[in-house]
Amino acid sequence: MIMAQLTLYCVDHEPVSRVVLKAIFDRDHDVEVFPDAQSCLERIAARCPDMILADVDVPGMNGYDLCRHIKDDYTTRHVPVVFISRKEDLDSRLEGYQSGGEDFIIKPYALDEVRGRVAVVQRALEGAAHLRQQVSDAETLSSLLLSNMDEYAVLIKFMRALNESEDIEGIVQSLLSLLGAFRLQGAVQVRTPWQTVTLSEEGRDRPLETAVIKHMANMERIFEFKQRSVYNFEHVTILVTGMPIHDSDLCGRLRDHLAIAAEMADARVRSLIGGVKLQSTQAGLAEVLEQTRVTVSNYIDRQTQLHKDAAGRAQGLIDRLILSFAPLGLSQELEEELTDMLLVQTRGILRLFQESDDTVETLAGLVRRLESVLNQT
Amino acid sequence: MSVLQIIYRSTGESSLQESDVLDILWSSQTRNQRDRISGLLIYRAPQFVQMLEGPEGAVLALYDRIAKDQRHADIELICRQTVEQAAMPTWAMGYFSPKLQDSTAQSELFVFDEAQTRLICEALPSLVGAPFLAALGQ
Repeated sequence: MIMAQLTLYCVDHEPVSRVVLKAIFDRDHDVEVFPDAQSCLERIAARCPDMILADVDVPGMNGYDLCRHIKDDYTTRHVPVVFISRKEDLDSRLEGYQSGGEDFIIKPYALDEVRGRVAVVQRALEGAAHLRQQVSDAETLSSLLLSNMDEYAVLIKFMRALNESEDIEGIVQSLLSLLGAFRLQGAVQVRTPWQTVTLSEEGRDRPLETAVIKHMANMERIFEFKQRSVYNFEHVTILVTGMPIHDSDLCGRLRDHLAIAAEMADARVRSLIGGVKLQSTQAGLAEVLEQTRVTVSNYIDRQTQLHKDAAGRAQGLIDRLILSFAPLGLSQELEEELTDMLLVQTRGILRLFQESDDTVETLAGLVRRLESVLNQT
Repeated sequence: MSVLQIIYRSTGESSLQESDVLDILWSSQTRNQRDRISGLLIYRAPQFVQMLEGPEGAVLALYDRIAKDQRHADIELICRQTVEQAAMPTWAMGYFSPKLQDSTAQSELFVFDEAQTRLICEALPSLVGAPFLAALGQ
């Protein structure tokens, strides 16, 4: 494992020890050496190191006090301190532990031992940094989730408003409110076969704005240029003029939200267009049905009248024929035979009208059904 | 607790190979750490200069062994003194050979380069540092 370069401060009052420590670590780390604790603390105030190697027995403030000072300061308490001492006794080690030190090396030390101990502390340091990063990542993620929840709440509110919109005006207003809720500026346009509405905070159907968006509506589904972004669907176009491009995460989320909103609005417009077409079809059908009903009713009336007229005329014909027989001097038998023949044929014609009455009855039933259907529409 | 400090100078055998010197380095590091002996060894062929410091018994026993070592000769004791505190915090070696310039090898062996060794010698008390600086060529 390749270890990162550390900023290493070494405190030792013996000149040769400082030279040796610097020589040991100079190849791999940025090393600064100090003859006493005070000069080290002054340097820490200007530049905080990653680790400190401190001789316990420095004159003035000793190594333990230096360590306590570092650990008591919130800004430096994370800096590991490794003690170096000629004292081998347990009390010295315990005091080092109680003062907050990470390790304790006894002089004379082996060169590989010092490097090995520093490497161990460095690994722990990197592990702690990794943990801090994980905590930071978790905080960022939770913050992101909270932001997303707010944004999803806006989106859900928009969906509800969209669903309740019964006309194009309602859909356009819902889209503009959505932009406002996301703190975005821009314009929206909704197009139907009978109407195009363009709306922004500056007003409705402004000529240039309408023309620009209509032109954009023929471009890609989603495209961006500088701080502008456009979301195009068949009946809906959203133009945003001030995307927060400095915040790439927020920008990405808003793009997703607006694309979803535009697609949903487009579906709602298509639904409204479908509804209008259906209403138109229904109105046409009702008109045809009414015409059919009137036609059939008239036909029935004419048939009924025709039947009555035919029956009356047949009877009149028979009466006139009977009266006409007298001057002809026909025999009684021939007169009766002709009368019977006329009656039989007249009845036959009247039977045909009777059959026609059945058809009329069927048509009357159809008229009643048509009236019932028309009452439902 | 006072420590015994010994500094000697010697000449390596002409047959001494680099691998022999590295053997000395490895065995010295382990043994001296165990015996709580610190010090400094400089080898610039064919000359050795070494300081040993630590508990008197351990230092004398080690010096006795070194004196009998056949890999060097002309052993000259430069300094023997008892001091309150060891001058070196570790047992270090400066080994100067054109064949050992690779930084990785130096890092693994903890051999200080010439500039580092010179800085260490200059930081030592003058009485102790002088023989080493002389060997380095002031």
